[in-house]
Amino acid sequence: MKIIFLNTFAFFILAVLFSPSLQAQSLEIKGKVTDTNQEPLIGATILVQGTEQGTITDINGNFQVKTDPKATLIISYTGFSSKIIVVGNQTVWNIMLEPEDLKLDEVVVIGYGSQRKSQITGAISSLKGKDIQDQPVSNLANSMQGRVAGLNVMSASGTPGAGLLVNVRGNNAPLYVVDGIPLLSENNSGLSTSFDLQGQNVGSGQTLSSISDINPNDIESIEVLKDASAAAIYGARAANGVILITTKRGKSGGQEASFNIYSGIQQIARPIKFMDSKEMVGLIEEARANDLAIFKKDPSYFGDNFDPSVLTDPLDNFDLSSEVNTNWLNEVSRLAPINNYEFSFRAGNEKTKYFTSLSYFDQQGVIIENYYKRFNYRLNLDHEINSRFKLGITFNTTYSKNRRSFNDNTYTGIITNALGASPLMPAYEEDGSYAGFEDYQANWLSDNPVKSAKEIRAFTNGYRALGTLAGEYKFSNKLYFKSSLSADVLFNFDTQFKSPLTADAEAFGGASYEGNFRNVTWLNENTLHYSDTRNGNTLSLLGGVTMQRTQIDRSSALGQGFPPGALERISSAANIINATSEGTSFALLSFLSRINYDVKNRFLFTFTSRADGSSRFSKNNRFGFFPSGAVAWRISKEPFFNGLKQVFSDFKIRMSAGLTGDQEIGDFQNITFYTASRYAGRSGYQLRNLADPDLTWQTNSMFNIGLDYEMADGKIGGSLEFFNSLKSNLLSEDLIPATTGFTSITRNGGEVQNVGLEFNINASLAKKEKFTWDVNFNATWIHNEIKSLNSDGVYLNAYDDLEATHILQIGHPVGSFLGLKYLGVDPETGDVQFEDFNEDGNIDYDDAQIIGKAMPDLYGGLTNVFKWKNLDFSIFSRFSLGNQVYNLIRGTTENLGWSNDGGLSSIYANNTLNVRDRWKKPGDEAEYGRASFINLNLGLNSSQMVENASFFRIQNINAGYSLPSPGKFSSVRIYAEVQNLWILTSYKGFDPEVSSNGGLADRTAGVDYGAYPSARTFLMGLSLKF
Amino acid sequence: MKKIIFFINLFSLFFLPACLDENSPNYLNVEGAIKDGASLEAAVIGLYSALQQSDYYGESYLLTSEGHTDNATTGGYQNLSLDQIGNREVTGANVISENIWTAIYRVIANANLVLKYLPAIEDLDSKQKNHLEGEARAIRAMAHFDLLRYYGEHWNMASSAGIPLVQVPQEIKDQPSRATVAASYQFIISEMTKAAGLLDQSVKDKSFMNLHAVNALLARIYLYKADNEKAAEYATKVIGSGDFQIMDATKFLDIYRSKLSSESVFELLFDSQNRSGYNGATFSREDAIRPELGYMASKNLQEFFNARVGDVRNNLVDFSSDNNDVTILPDGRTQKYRGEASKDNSAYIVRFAEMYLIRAEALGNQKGLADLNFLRQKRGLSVLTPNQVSTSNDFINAVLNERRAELNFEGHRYFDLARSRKIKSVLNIEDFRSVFPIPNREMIANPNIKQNPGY
Repeated sequence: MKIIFLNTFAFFILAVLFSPSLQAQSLEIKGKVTDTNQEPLIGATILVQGTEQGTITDINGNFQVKTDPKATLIISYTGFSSKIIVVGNQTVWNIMLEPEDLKLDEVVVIGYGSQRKSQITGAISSLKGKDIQDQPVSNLANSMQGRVAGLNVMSASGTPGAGLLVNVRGNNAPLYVVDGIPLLSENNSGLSTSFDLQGQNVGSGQTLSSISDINPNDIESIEVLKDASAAAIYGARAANGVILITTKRGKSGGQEASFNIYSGIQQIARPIKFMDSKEMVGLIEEARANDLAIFKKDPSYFGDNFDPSVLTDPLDNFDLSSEVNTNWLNEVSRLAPINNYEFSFRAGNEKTKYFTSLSYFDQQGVIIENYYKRFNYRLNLDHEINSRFKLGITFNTTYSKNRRSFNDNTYTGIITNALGASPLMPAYEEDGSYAGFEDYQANWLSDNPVKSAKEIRAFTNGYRALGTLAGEYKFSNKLYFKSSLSADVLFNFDTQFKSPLTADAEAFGGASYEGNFRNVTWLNENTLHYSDTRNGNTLSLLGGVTMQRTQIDRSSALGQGFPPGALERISSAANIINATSEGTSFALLSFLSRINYDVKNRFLFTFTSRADGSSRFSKNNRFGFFPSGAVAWRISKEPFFNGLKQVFSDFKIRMSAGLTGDQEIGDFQNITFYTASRYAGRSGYQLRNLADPDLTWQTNSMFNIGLDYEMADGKIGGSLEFFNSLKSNLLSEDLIPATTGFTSITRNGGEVQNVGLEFNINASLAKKEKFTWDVNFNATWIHNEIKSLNSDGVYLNAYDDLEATHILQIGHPVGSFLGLKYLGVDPETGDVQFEDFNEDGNIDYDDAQIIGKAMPDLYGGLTNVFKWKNLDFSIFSRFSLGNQVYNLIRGTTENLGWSNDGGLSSIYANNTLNVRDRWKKPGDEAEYGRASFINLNLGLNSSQMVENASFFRIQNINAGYSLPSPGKFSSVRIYAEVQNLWILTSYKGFDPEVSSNGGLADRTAGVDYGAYPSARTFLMGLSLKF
Repeated sequence: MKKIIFFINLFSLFFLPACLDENSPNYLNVEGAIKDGASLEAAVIGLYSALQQSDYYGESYLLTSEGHTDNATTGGYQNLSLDQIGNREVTGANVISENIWTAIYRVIANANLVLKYLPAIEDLDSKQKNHLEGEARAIRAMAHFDLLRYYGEHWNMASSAGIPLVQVPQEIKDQPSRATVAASYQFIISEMTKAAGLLDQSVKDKSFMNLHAVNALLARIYLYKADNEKAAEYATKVIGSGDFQIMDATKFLDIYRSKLSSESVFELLFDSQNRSGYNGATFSREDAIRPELGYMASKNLQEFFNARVGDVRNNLVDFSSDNNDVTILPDGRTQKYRGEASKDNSAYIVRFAEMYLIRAEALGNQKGLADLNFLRQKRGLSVLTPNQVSTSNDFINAVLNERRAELNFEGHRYFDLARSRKIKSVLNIEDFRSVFPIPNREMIANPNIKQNPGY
């Protein structure tokens, strides 16, 4: 730690002290080379004509050259038309180069630098901030979905601020780097919202994502680094791809203020339709009649001691006389407002530039009481201290407050309870008290869901500061050194109060949980950059050392027994129980290098390498080395291509190969540890884990062939990629004999292959003065397959207390569903039938087999943007094919009149209208089996519950109008937007894009247990610039 | 200038790898952890924490066996593993069984570490050191016996279906195979006997493994092994110790309402920081409904008690609709694990009453009746006359009924039925279900393990 500071401070002091001004020898020309958008061109060549004397521009596009006033300078840059200037007496030049073509001139941020798109040798997808601006979502990854080839995003839940399963080319959980800081992106809240009926945690339930702390409207660009050439510079953390997020910075010349506001309303996009009281009672009576008919035929069917009176006696609570008919989904959901206010200011002069913004985002959940609020402040500042030394400051603070929805995606949650609740039960009794669920006997319920929503008050408060101080010292026009010190400081404070009214806390008079989480990450990066052009060949070198240390501390306390009144903090508890305090940490030390060699704009070579050392591994195998190499050939620059020039204005072939790594196994997994334990008032040690001391890096060897093209003078452009990656030495939980005391161990072993194709096209279909039409389409095909495993056929559970739902098996994709194979309804008896897979004559879980998978085969998105005079209109839709969902909540909501346990005067849960298509009499060919009071006539963990979740979704429609004469403002635009307007799918749940269990585990992805429904949003917005 | 920066970075190259050594504030490297008397004691305390695991004496071990018998009903809310227990159709995929298997071996792994490092400890006198060794050996032997009861054919000395005996800390590559039943008993008994010789007889804290507990467990083990002479001998040691007392019928509820009663021989304590699962799984709260209860007292148990007029133990099972939501009927709830707020119910690993029952059974219908009647009278029942239990079969049935009345919901019934070969006649399931199957996970991870017959 000390060394990190020492290093940085020493550099800053030295850099200021040793910055002399340049001594003029002859006439000194200073200048800046930019593109037509005033963006600096980095590495542009300035050559004194007729000599070999020259220089290149630095990262701000600036150059200095000493020459004779009579000289002629040639300024050239890949992808741009060269410019010739005669020096004369002018010593300061601002030179603007015109692009040769449209797309390939874009500046793309790469790891530890930036490049022209035309010079890139790796697979990088780039999104501009404006593409994702003003989307009514809390998590920016949500708005990337469908816009980037090779990137697939699944939501664990529709809850505001929720965590997402982000998958780059088949690999889960990419590294996020925001303005150079690798960001902690996982869920940091210690608050479990997933309990079973005994109050034990089951799964992680609803999780949050700390990526939500970044305000999407602060973003200038997002780059997704997908292949080895692009990502390997991030070495040990790049195996799952890297997402670089660059925020807006100041610009020199002038100033601009902008004010944005939008306001809208959200509703459940696709409500599930349930039976009303009358239909439900009818179903129960039908179920009893069916059972009675069977009993009359064969009394032994229900066992020896079966008492048939339960099939004929009137059911206490299932007559319709009360006339109650509650629509529970309506009771727990609402039309929820969403609001966003934002002010930003951008200004600068030659020396100092800054961008600052202030924003407030308030999203109420479509489920009652739930909300997410975020307050952001950002200041990005750049300052030139002198001609050699520059400072950059990036600073972002966020405060967020999330009122959590209890037990989202778990069987005791608000939504799951509401899905099963009987329509004969009211939300409130006539005296205004909450209806007691015990009195209405829908056995599925663990509490009145309206009561749970209101009386379980859970909040996660997030406080975050992200800051970087960077210095850049220029030794010469060819060489500069950059050093930065960054901090990511994140605090979370969780509270959860369960009032004494709730079933969860009535036994002990209220219960309260408080949790604190603190993360402090320090990062020091030092890089040396060199670039030189000779004879039209450019050599760029990068070398660097980075150090990072993360320290995490957590503490929590649980209290029980609270006095009346709003005294809900732990200090008010009669008993304070279960206090915890834990810490963990890791450190990384990395050495990185990159060589770019550009041969006359025709051949481009990139070699990168990174050596990473991590505290997570034992001394002997602590360091990993991750090299990559790539070559690109701009065929369109070759003379023989001239014939094709009329079709392809630019054509580039790229090829890359390399290694990336993954260290995400958690801290301290390489050592067998004792952890503290206690018994009878004494403390002791208990074994915590069993470790493999030889644990080492997981590696991903990636191969990529890409093709970038531009047609019709840049009106059409895009790329095509083929990738084949093999993840090996997988860090996986492997089965070991439990005679060791543990069932699994984290060790290296196993390989997963991802092969795929990505296609991307941008086309400008109309470009007239009054009308423009731009189209972007991308599609990704991917095949994921487990090639080897230490132990084949390991069962995994999406929920701890349910039967295995997933399996890891060689030859099948990660996230394959496990269950019985459903053979349909027997038309004669109405019984559901399953395959006796092991042919032992019994149908039991030993017959389980692979019955589906969560990941799609093909997915993509289509964007159309139209502009006509002052009107603009965009429509964005996306699709996914081949993905499936294990819709386990249907075991509850399609129970066909089951009583939960034979012989009881109650029913289990209400049914959806889907079950109308059920077997009623012999000969019926029905989707659902016979209604039955005694037997559960369905197969929970079976392919009966696996659904095709392919979809086509109209994700976003935006229509805007810009005032032709905005008066005092420089621009005024008003717009209307609909998010998630329409979805075409056969999926029966709320949304086909769900993934239970926090959504952060690809191995157990794709389970729907009554996940929080996704919203449809209508909003109006106003954007002012002045 | 360049040189200076170069040297700064060179400096970091050489000294920074040392910064990659992180230490956890919560964990202690097992290597070198047990280095003196204090740390050895801490590791022995850890054995009790390991016994407290919810999959062992924290809940599952006892209640799962009950759920598999006529004492209890369970299942019914789409928890397939629980359904399997309730329907007595346990498969190798059963998650609950899998967790029990692992939890018990976790205790053994902890004990093996204690026994590995113990010999090198020098700052304890031999009495202290022996006592700690005795605790570790006894807990390890009890764990093996508890495995044998679930997964091995414990009634059949000729069977090869014993359990893997794990006597040293395991490495990942170790794949022990199953010992025979006879070898399993031999190991368990020899270890228990060794422990009895090591334990300090002046230490009488019933919340820790003690000499009486070891003798009581030996009585139990010999009874299972059908070595009746030894069973009676060890039961007598405990009964004659004078340290325990069967309470009067009026006070008898104190066993479950207070901690460490005079009827406790070895009682695993729980507290607010270490809660047990018994209350949540069997009672939870006053108006709890069926899906909230993991294990209900069966209607069959009610009928059993209805035929035992005057038995105060009937009060420990609640079938009344006044207190229960009607959805629980015809089943009821055990009252042995009340305390909905504290949830710190003990695990009654060995209770004194069992000693009388063991000795009665071991001595047979002639000599054993006195012990049986002693307990019956204490529990408010009339004595049985020799005529009522004239055959040994009648007597065994009377003992089993007494055991059922006394020990229901304490994890005995399933094993009692298995060792008396009554699984088929009483539970109406196939005989091979007298033991659980070896978990599938274990079969996959260790090819040397053979499945139990019938599965």
